[in-house]
Amino acid sequence: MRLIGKLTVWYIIITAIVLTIGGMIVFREIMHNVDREAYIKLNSWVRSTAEQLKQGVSVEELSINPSVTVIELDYDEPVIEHYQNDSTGIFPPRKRGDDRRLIIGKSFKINGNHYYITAQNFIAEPDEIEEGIQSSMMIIFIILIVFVGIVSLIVSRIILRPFKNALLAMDEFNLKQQQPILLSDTHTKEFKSLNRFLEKMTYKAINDYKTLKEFSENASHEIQTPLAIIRGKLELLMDSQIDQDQAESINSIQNAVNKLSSIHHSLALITKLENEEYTLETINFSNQVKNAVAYIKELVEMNNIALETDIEDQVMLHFNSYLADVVLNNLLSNAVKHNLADGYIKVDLRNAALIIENVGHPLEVAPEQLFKRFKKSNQSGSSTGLGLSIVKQICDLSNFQISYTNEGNIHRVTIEF
Amino acid sequence: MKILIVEDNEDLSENIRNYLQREGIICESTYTFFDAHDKIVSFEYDCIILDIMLPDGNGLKLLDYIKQEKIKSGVLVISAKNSLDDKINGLNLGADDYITKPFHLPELNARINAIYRRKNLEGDTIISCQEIEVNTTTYVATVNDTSLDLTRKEFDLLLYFLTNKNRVLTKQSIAEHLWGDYTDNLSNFDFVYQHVKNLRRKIEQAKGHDYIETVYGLGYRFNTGVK
Repeated sequence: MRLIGKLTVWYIIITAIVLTIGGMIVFREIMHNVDREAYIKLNSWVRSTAEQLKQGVSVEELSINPSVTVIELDYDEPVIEHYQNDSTGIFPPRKRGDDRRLIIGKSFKINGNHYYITAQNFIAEPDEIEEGIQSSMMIIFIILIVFVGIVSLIVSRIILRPFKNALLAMDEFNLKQQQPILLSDTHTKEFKSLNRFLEKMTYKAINDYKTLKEFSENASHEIQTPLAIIRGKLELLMDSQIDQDQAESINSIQNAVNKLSSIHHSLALITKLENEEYTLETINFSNQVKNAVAYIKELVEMNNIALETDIEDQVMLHFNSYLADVVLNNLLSNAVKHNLADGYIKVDLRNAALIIENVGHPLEVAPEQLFKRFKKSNQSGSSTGLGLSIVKQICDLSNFQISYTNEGNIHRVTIEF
Repeated sequence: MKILIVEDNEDLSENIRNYLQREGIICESTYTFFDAHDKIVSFEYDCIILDIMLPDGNGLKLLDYIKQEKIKSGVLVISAKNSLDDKINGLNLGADDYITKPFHLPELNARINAIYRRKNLEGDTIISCQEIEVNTTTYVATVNDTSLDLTRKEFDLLLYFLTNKNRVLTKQSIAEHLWGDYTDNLSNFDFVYQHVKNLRRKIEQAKGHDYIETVYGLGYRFNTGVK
């Protein structure tokens, strides 16, 4: 839900509560005033009638309101100070729709006569007033919602613009471009500090990224150079007079150097993949698969492995040609490396998927485990255990689905585009 | 052949010099951008081995200069970064080849020789050793004028042996020379044995001497001293 939406909902909830309470207060006030006015009026009628009687006007000649009645009582009867009847009372029970009638009565002893004067009037009923208040509150509420809705839409566009711009800028921000984000000026204090914070943060992120990148590049340089020295010295040493034991030692050192170097290359590639330093473009994957297959042909034949290919032409992918080579190189060399004597490799490329199948010893670990770094089917093997995890990472980056299945001697890697 | 080694690491530079001098190549070493620039201006070299990262400058700038001044030397770029960008930059700027650390010295030697052949000798280039002759333009190898039926890889292998005569070539270095990146994931280099075996057989079939000898567990040597 959008921020302005949330604010509006809260505003509406609070307004509804306030309007309800307000409606009750208004109702009470109106009722109170209506009653008071009615009493005052009825009392004045009674009093004016009594005045007339005092001035000697006879009962028959009284010019009075039709709702005033005058009854003569026995003189000895006690004076009725105040009589009041409100038909809204609990007794007699009122039905909805009945009129509300208010009666006020009082007796006066005037000129030796005892008159009982009552005045009655119909007044507004509470349920009518209640309905009126309810419907007007409803209308007010609806108007309010409409206005708040419209205003919040407009205001949010204006007031929240810097916020939206900041979000947009953050979304487009890319460490690789080394461009700190620049946000437009705003007069809102909160947004000002937000923008300041964001600008500072991206600037720092870029600097950190640069430092880290430089560090890993330098580290790479610093590691590869000693490795090159070791390798060179060993090669020079090999050409001198050495005995078999020394040769074996040199061989072990060479192997260790090779492994170190290959781990390092793989890690450098993984770092680059994580930094998303490769751009995807449309490539002709068919050609690349064909080239890769042609490249390993001799290697495969030499190992007595049968190579079957079924490659569809013009499979165009949103991919990167260097990464495609890395994937093919890894998968095909795995297929060669883990193959059995007189085995086979099948390379099948369709528009929807690449399938590479080969025979090999059954896996000792679950197939999906092999996509993890440094995980190998044979932990003592001399491979780095990074190949498949790199392939997986490349597939993830390119939104391809990769799966590995193993049934008995048959291993199959499927990449769905 | 006269070459200039521009590499800031003295040990590495010495390795290269040591290896190449035994091949009869005249080597000069410089360790800084400034000195390298000086030497390139003052002398002529057949080939320059250029490290990209130098303490006082980027080797690629030197490459730029070499191309601008139309200096005829071939350039082999050495980089610690196995990065595509550097490779493309290097080759775009006119480097003749590119090699990443840690490299094999025989490989470096083979590359320099290849650059030298491309640059300096026009027409067919023939490398010969006793009765074996290899034509690097037509890819024909002959023994006593009998041509050998070699696959491309076997031809490359023979050429690699001939450019690194009397040197121990490890299986790893042969594998990398022949298969490049594909060997990164290969745990054993038995296929190198296959290649060597086939090559030996074919040379022997053509009545050639078997110069290739196995060196303990290390690899192979093309021994011209065998009789």
